[in-house]
Amino acid sequence: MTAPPPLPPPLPNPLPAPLQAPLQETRRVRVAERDFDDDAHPATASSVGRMPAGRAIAVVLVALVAAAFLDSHAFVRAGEAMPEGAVRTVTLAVAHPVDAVAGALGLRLPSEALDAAFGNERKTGDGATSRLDELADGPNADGSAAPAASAPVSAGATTGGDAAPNGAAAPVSTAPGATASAGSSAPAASAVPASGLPASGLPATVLPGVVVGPAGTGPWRHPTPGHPLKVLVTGDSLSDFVGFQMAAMTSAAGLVQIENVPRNGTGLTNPDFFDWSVNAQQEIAARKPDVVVVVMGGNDGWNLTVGGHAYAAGSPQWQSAYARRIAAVATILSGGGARPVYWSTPPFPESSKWARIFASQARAAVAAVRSVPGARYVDLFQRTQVAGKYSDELPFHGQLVDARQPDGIHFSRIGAKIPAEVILQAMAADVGRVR
Amino acid sequence: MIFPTVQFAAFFAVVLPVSWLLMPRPALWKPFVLAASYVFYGAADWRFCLLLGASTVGNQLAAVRAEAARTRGDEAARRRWVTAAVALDLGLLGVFKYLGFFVDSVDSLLRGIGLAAPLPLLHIALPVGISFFTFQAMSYVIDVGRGRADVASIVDFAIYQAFFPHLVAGPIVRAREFLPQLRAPRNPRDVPATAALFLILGGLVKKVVFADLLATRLVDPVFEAPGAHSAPEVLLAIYGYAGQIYCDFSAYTDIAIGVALLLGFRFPQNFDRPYAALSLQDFWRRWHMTLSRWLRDYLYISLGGNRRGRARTYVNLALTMVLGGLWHGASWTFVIWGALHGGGLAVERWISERRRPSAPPSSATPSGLEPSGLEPSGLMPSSAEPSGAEASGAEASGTGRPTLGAAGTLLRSVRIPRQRPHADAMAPAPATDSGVRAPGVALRWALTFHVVCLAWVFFRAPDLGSALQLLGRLAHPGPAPLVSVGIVLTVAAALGSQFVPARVWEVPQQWFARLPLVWQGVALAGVVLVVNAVVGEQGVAPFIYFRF
Repeated sequence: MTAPPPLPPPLPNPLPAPLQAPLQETRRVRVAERDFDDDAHPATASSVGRMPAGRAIAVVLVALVAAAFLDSHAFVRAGEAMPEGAVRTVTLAVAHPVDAVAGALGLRLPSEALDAAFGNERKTGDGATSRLDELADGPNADGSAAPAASAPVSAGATTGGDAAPNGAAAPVSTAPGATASAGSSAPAASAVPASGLPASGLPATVLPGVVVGPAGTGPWRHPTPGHPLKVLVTGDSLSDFVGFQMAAMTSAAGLVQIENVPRNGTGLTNPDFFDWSVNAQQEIAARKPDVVVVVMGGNDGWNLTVGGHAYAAGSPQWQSAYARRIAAVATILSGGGARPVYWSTPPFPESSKWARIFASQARAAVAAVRSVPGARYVDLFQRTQVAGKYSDELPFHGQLVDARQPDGIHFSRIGAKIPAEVILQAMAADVGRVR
Repeated sequence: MIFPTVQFAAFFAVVLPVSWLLMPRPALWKPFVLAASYVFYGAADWRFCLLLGASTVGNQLAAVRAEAARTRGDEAARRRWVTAAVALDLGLLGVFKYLGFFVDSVDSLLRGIGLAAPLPLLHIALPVGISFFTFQAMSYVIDVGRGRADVASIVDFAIYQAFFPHLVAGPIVRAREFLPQLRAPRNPRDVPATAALFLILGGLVKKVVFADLLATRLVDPVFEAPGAHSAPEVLLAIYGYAGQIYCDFSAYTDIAIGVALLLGFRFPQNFDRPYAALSLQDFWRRWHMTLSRWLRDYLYISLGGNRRGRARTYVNLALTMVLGGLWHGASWTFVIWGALHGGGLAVERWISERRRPSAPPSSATPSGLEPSGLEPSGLMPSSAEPSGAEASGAEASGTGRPTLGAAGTLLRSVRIPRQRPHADAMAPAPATDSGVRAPGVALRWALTFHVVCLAWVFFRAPDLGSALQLLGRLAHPGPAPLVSVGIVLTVAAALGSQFVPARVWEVPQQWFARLPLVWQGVALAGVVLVVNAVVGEQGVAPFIYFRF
């Protein structure tokens, strides 16, 4: 048994007098503490750098203040990443002035140097206006107009407005007889009926609709085992399990290489925290994918500010602005149609509030892909409804699976097979066999 | 609320000074620290606080009644109240953690025998930390029932159960270790702050630099889609997961222990370089030590320990570890993980006893460690009390250190004294003192490590099929784009850190202790700066043990 270390000589005590009272221990306490010493962490008995509590408190507080100023960018980012509420408001109210002071005093130089040393790329624009805002308000890379804020954003027969009573999006428009095909021959702004997809055995309630954008610059390459397609799967946390399931489903054939790069906690509504237009350019430059899959929207419940006006999440104006942001990012990812981009918004959620917002996102995505060469919208919103309602259990290959996580938004690990399969089906329609 | 966040930093910046200021006045300090702990817990979901409060009230009621019954000699009533508390606690775990698993298993069974009677799927949110605070409550009631601890006031027990540093992911602190610390004020003149701060920063580095990097760059891609990866990637991912889970879990407990130390409280050690173990028994003295001793004290011994003969001892070992596996989660993969360890421990013990048949199990170690007279060394002996055989081996060698050679066993575990910061021995060193040759030690180390790694495959794999597929991929050579020099070095560093002498870590602490106060703060901030640079824009992933 290790003897407890002797108390050091008395030091000036910064704390109130009652703390200096001698310890009164009962026999049981002494026995118990002696027993405890056998298993206590060695740091308990460390003789190095013991100090009064007052000094320990001071060191901790100095460290926290110094970290806030030396890494003020991370401080602001941490606040931006928080959900709306008082904690976020207070954090940003402190973080922004700290960041400004740190910038003025040059205190950010060490963190910027470290970021450069570690190869960290900033995921936000440098100016007062985010890069995503600039792109969304300007023309597309190919010269075509992005979905305008004033233009009606439609999906099928529905234009903006509130969702259906159950939160469902309007049906994705379908053009009878149209089929998905290789990029160069894809019909512009057409839609693929569910019947045009390979039979999967799924009930009609979960059969997908795929909306196809203008023709790309293709033809897109068909994969071979010796020359597989590089597929980048990205988005927010919704994309994580989807990417892993796509990798699992395609591994046997060896026709595609899945690179799964989820950007958890991100979205299109808060470019001050994470600007997807900046990230998209970096990803394409660094990874050079042949195909891009995006599953995103779970964090996009924020209001959007356009031209100084704030629009409530899910409102018609919000939907138009959101469509322009999707179009801006999809345009970068597709390289003007050089590669197909499959864009999915979140599945049907349990919460009616989120259902309205996700329905709006789905309509925005339909509108957006119609303006972006090479872009496709792969519906997950409707196909995850059962009789127009949310369900944890979804059919997959004739069997009900526990498809959703307890949050009522994310797919479970096994449930992610459903979006993975329909995205792969859409991909196969463009580039041939992928598994 | 999780540790490496701005929210926790702000929370702790308030709680630390206020706690020390109020500590001389327990009537103020106790409600404060209890409220702070509930704020910490409720930050994720305030409804979980109701569950925690209900657990506290129910267990305290049972403890009070059990002690009253013990005092008046009513053995039946004492047993009844202890049993009721254990049933309550296991019931909570059963509902929140295992009901879905049970329903799924029954459903699969019915399907398997052709009865199409699917049961409704259950989605019950798992309250964070329920396994930890439930085990602590059970230890409290059982210890009170056994007369090994006094019943505490409801406030003291509530603080013990909810104390925020250990609430979410341990370490599992015994009631008789923590409650006495509430009865005496902490000494404000003598806080091991340097060691505490280094534990916290070291935990941050282990989590961010090693665990998260290994997870995102290697382990997750391979374990989630094993069919897409070749043998070199799979093998490195298995080693990588061994490093990841150690760095992740030990990081959390290091931070928890450091935070508690800054508040003036001592926690037990939870990890002691587990991958330096020379046997599975040795491994379980070093890995998640507080769970090991909980399983020993409240499960293995309750099952009869080694008191009911050899065969029953083996069964008890295996059963204890299988239940320990199930504690981690309701999945057959955890059952197999536990069974591998339980089976391995039983085999080790069988080999050991075959080589010294004259030593019956119950005489191998001194009794008296437990009131019942049961000796616990068959599973994970108290680190403070070497087993009889080990102690005699040490005496025989004349070194005062435990040895292997005296009994001539191959796989019998070595009792290696836990290293204090001032100790400089590397873990395997004692084995070489007594004539066991280095190749033998290396072989035992390699065997132990790879059995542990094999078990980790089942622990990490999302399902049994994936685990078997992953092991099958070890026979598939091919290109290995995930195997880069940087990843190999990271795996090597995560595992190799186990063999760094403890003295090495004292050097920067001594340097830090000599700095002026302000520079100490700036130095700490500098480490945070570097950690943030490593994290980049991705943020810190949740700790693995949050879901247990």
